[in-house]
Amino acid sequence: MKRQLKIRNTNLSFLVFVFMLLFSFKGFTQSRRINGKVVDASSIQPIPGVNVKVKGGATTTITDVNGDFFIEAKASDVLVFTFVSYQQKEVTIGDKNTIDVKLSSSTSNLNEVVVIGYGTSKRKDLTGSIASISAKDLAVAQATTFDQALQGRVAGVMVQTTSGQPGGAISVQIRGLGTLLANKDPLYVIDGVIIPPARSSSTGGVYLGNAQINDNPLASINPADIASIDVLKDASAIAIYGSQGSAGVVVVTTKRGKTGAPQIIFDGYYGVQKLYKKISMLNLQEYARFLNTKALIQGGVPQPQYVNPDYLGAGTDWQDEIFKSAATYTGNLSVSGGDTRTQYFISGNHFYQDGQIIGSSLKRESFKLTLDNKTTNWLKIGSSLNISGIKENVNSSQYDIINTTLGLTPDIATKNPDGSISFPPGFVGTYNPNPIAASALNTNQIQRTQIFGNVYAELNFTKDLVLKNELTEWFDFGNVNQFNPSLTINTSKTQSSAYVQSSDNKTYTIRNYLTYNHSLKNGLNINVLAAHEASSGLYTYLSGGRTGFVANDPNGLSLGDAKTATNSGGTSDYSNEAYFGRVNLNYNDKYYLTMSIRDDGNSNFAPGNRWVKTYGFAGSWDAAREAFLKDNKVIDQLKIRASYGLTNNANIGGYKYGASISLVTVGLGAGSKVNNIAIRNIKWETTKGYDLGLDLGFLKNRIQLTTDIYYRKTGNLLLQAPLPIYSGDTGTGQLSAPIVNIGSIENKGFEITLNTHNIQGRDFNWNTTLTATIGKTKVLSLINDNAFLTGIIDNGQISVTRTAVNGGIGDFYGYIADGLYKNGADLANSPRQAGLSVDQRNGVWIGDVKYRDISGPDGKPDGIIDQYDQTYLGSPIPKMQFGINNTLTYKDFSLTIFFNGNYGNKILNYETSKHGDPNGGGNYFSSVLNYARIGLLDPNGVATDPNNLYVTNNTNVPAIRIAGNPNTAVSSRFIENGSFLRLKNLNIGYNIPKNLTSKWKINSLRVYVSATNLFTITKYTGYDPEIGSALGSSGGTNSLTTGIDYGHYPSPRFYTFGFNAAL
Amino acid sequence: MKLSEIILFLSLITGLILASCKKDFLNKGIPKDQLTTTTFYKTAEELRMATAYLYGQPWFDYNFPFAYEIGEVQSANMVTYTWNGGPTAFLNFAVPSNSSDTKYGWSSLFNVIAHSNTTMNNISDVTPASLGAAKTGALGEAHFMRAIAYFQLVQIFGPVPIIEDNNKVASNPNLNTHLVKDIYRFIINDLNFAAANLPLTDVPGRVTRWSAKGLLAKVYLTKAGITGTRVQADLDSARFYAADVANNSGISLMPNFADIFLSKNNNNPECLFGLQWSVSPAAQYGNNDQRQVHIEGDASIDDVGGGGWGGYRVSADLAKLYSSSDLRRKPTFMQDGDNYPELVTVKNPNGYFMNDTSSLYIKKYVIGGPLANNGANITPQHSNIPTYLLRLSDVYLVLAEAILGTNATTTDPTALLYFNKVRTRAGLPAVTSLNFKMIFDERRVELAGEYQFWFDIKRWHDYNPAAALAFVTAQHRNMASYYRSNTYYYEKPTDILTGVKPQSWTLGYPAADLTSDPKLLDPPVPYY
Repeated sequence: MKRQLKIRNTNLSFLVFVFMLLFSFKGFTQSRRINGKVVDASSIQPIPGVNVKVKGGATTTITDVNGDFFIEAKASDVLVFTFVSYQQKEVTIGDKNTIDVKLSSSTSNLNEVVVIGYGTSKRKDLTGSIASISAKDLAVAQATTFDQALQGRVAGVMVQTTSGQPGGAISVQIRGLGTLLANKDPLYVIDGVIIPPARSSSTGGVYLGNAQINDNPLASINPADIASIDVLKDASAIAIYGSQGSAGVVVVTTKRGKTGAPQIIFDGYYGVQKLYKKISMLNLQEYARFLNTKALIQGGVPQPQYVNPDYLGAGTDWQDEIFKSAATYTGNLSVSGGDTRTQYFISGNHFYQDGQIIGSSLKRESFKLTLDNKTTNWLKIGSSLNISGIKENVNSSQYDIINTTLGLTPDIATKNPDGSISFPPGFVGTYNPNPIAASALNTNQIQRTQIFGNVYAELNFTKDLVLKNELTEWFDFGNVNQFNPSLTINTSKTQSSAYVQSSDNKTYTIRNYLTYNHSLKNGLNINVLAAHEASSGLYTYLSGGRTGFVANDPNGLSLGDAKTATNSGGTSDYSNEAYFGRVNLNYNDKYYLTMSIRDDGNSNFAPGNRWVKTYGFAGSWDAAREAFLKDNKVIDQLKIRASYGLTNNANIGGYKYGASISLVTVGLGAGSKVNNIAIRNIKWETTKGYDLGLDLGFLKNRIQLTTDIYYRKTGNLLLQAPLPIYSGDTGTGQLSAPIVNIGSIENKGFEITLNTHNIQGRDFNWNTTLTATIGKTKVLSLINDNAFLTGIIDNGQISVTRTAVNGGIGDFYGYIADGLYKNGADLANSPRQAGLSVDQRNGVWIGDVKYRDISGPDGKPDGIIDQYDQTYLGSPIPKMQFGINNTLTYKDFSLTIFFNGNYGNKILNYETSKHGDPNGGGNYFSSVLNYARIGLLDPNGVATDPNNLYVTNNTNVPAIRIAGNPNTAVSSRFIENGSFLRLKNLNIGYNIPKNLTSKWKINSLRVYVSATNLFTITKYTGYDPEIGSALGSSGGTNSLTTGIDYGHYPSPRFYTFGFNAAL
Repeated sequence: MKLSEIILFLSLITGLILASCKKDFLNKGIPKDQLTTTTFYKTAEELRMATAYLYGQPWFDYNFPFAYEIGEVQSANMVTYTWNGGPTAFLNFAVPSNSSDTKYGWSSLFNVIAHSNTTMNNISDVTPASLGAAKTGALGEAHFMRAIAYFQLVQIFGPVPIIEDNNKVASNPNLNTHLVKDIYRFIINDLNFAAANLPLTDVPGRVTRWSAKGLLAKVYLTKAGITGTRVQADLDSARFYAADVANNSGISLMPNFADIFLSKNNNNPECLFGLQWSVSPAAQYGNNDQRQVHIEGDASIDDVGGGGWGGYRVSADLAKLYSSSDLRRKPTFMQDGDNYPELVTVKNPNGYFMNDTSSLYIKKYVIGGPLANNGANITPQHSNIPTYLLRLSDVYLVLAEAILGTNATTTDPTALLYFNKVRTRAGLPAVTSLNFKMIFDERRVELAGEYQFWFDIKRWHDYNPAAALAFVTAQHRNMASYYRSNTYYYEKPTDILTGVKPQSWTLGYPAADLTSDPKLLDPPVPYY
């Protein structure tokens, strides 16, 4: 808006100038043409896009791609050079005709432009808590999807990779989890386009076979197109987004054209991903020996093929079979530029990432166009348009490949001697048991095509009053394509089957907002916003399947047996509407006040409960501007911020206030089933929170510190009521429990961002940024004090977490393992599991796991291990998440070292319960070889007398049993420390000197090598301690089953080589 | 700025129009691929669909294995191998509070109640009165379902919470249990409503007025003893309703006992109420009957893949009770030398020949595969016969028991008439005098495999705990073997369980609900 003003005035001045040129004569006051070049003080590289302005006047220009500029100015004028992240410089013209300027990197980010929602602000003027990251940080992160790059770089934002699958889901939580059922993800706004909540992607959440594919709705967005990301964290900042933003708002601004010569930038990288770590499993010899020992203990005879293990080879290492080195490459080409009236930005991207696990990959192609045109003095119009398509191979996730693979024994060959795929000997079944074969032969593709963008018109009524009209559209077309070919597995033949789904998801938003901006002479700046916004979305899908295809290829759906055809389809829609306004007051850059209010309507509730008000207040005071600090040399900024606000959440999906009926086939013919109990008066979830912040700048802002403490309480929690079974909500044919407003959750925390410019020299610079987020979540109330929510995994079979009053969300819940029963006396004197006697076959025995007796029906230990002895085993949510980024530059070299980490969280290593148990099946972790050895106290005594037995070795791995296995309960045995410190990025870059590049007609060229996940310090024994939420197993509830390693796709180690050329 | 002012004016007008012209802009989100409770229940056909559901899926988790475990295994009609821990716990009266089977039984019966409540409340709210008997009849069906579900619950668990509106439970879920006598009153009220509103006849499988009256007789007979002394007024009511069914329903016994359990005679008139299952591939999980695959002794009986999963067998205790001339023995269980010509499979074109001498296989509800059932789509988890929970012969025996009442013996002609109808159909000689043990045993052999015997023991225990305990303690809770060359059942010595005593005559509430609602353990409160 300010810029509008300037340009308009510029034009006016230009006319005046032309007029003067024609009719006036030469004099001291006469303007003349000044040339110059602006370069970086340390690299001596030209800086394009620097704003050059005549101080106090209206004339302004921008340096071109070579850093060159010209401007008309008088000898008495002072030129002001400003550019983002550089220190402002002023030069008096005098008699010079050429002014070359060296700009030094700014030590301060105070003049950085920050998006505050329906407007922008300078960082120094902020009242709320907003964090930003720039395109530069994004480039270093080399993220497949931009949300990955937030990790460790933004205080207050917890980012966890949910799946290492290329393009896999990321869990982003701003200031902790404040809701259980309603959408917990932040609102993503890309160039004004609100990424639809609830159904974030047209193919997300599709159940493919057993596993749910955790698809990332942001995977189609090219990180290279992004100019900046602003994260709105506190209630006052969020309030302007109202209902949809209660979990925080991530505002993404993409690159746009600037006035100046055309800039052509070509960049790209090539990289290789490798498995970070292998899990030690038994090889064939070890496996054979172990089975032989087991057979001996169980009174059987060794299997004939294992009689002499020494003659066996190492067998199949299944991890080597599924993990591979995988390539990634990308290329971006962008052209941008413009004159004072029209600016444009055009880019194209090709991205391919092969997964480190067979049967996974992501391909993305995207195009982007933005156009801004100043049509007349009072009108500006523009548009942005993004088109992208992604194609994902999700075979490995669909097949749950890690899980399957860890269970496969080393005696199975992957291939027959003739090269064909082999199957476990004797296997008979209707599915494909070999993951290699499944990945190679099955088809499991997700394709998405997204088109989104906006058109806007900006009307300047007066200097101060601007109306912006904006229409945004989001189209998301998805396809799921699955085909399982017919195979001959040993003697049985499987049936071919196909399933396809196509869906489209359309939303639009119309918004009109009026901004009034006025500065009074007494130093008071007023900025007022009044707006209306309405959006609506429609989702449609159609799916079908057939089996019994004539051949495996081609396999279009219509080639299947028509008699087996199945299909379904449906639509759903939603709408919301809001009226809102904001007032920003700024008195002499010293006192700031923000007030915002929003009235939100949402179709997710019944009439009567649809509308709700959101508000936020914030104020700040920069003491450094006061007289008593004004002249000090140490403190540059001492700003205190405080805010309070109320936000509301409606993101539960449509028609939860009503009950639906399905048509079903029953014994008596046609029947109808009521699906759920409905509570009609459900209403908005409300979150109230405050934030206290402190922004400090010392020593010419060489040290900058931003800290915030926050408290947030969510009430009227929207939740599927945790009801007793007698309510009718459990088991086959249940009525789903209603969504109700019950309970409350509090989030509190502390976050810190420390920026230091440790060394600032002509050649050498060293900057450090440290961010840390410390947060705690507590459930304050639920439907009653005894109610709890259970997190269930493994096809709805195993309860692993409990969310109860006064606890956290998704806390692990189970028994405490107290080592093993060491001898007969220990077994006799220790509590046993309910219903189990001392028995070698069906009960407990020496060498079994001993659980701790904590309580009983009367509240005290009762000598029986039962549900009263289950307890909290730790939280999957880190107590602290942090990042440390060091950037060093020396002449043309740069080095970035970025560490991140989690502290204080636990991981449930469910794979250990499956494969670390000597009494389990399939293959085993090497750790089972440390199983408890049972010895006889009296060598001549009987082995069936418990009093004659003892565990001879020091171990916590149970003994091999004759039969039965009482050691599988979820217990502290499987809970591990999830803390880690990881060298997330290491990036070494070199700017090839200009004298070399100019020979190739290249303006600037930077080359770099980078490594991601180079090393990790952790005690965690699985592949990767970074395990987010959204466990892909039916029956699992996302926020209740986080931090569970059940075949988690690990993040790879990733080496890349890349370049960035400006032509 | 003139032009701008015009545009401002126009924009504001446009904005206002946008904001106000679509008053229904927020009226979205109502599903278009599902029906809703506010628009359904408007026609007689829709009401039939709503009530048809109550006969199937909500009962699924009760039907098997829970009802089998409590009705047949805990009562020692059936036994199983120790490797099947679920039923073994029932056989040994050692069901843990976190037993998943108990949880299934509990949730299923409460699901029946929830669906009955929701159906009757929705019909009351939405259905126009002009539908007349279609509306009142549908309400009658829902009341019948709620009554029979509560009848099972109160017999199995004792005091339980009475729920009439599940929406209220969702808002305030911590309920107390109610007095057993109030639960019986509630059941009787529901059945009175059903008896007044159900039609005299309906399509096979649907409950009628006679179903409600037959059940009323049984409920009164059971209620008679709950205070520890039998109440004559309740016995009289039981007699009244049983006699009403026997004399006035126009329904008579099937001539041949074995025919009752052939799928071609599904829902024959003798069957007053049965759970209805579907073999259609289109039916959702839970509308299927998976008993056969678990209770059959040999997978080749149906030859549809898998089978004999549960290891269920007939106990020595039950087998020894059958007279060798009892025509009900062969349709109830199989022994060495039996041939079932109707159990045709590809491998057994002449039917199934039982030649396992080590145990007795269950026959009742084991109906074979598609070839034995007129091509029905029988698969391992889809059997094709209802689960009968009330038959006419049951009502006849209730009548006899109600007439006997507190007397040691009776020669009442009505009691003898109906008792002997059951007995002579089985090929046994008529009797001229009745005592309790005769009726008790007759019920056992007539209804074995139909989930009733534990309730018979329990009903006895209510007013004569010492005798019932002595009976259970003396039971032969073991497997039996049988050689066709011999004519006696040999009690297998390896699994001696004789003398196991019930620790409690009601099952404990499932652990999950005890945790979420500790008030379940408070003393029950009055409902009325």
